[in-house]
Amino acid sequence: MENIQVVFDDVHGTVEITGHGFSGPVCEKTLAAICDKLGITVEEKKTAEFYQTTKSAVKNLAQNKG
Amino acid sequence: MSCYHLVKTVFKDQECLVNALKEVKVGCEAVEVEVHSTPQQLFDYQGRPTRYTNANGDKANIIVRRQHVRGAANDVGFSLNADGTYSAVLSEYDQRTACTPSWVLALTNKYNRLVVAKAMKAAGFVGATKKVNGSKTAVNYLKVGGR
Repeated sequence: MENIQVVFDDVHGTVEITGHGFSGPVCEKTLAAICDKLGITVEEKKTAEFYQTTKSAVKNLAQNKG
Repeated sequence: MSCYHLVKTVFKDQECLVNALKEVKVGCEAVEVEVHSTPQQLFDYQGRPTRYTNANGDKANIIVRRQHVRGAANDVGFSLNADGTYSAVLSEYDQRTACTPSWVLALTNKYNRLVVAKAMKAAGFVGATKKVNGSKTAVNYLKVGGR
């Protein structure tokens, strides 16, 4: 069964997304759409059923302070 | 001193950002959030238009007016960038009072949840289980109609 696990880390403001049970391209497309909304880039693992992304939005805010 | 700073963010979804601002609040109970397709002028604590980040005036597309910000604060804004992300337009003063790093973190966490929920729904997933472990919350989404 297709499922996606999302882990919210409230201390660091990060989101970790892992997809299971997909065929590769479907998972990629679904996760890419979600990651695009989150402003993060899909960091693809080299197995068809496992994709993971992490990004610290808070860190990004601090680093880009103008 | 009400000097504004531009703070680049990863926020891209206008609806989720507006709702996150309403839910996290900036000091007052009921927060009114303005949304403008054309950036509008921001005003300081004395009601004066400011020009700290732009000679033509500090402007933003999403604005929480100072009446809704705790104390004698300035307007809080988010301006839309060419790449689709928003830059927060925050005054120096507000970054020490209403819009502190902990507020930014709370806003980010709320935004993340709203965006994930929206994206999951659009992709045909529903939240099935939720497990809290300290500061981490794991939500498992299942495909509706999936095998």
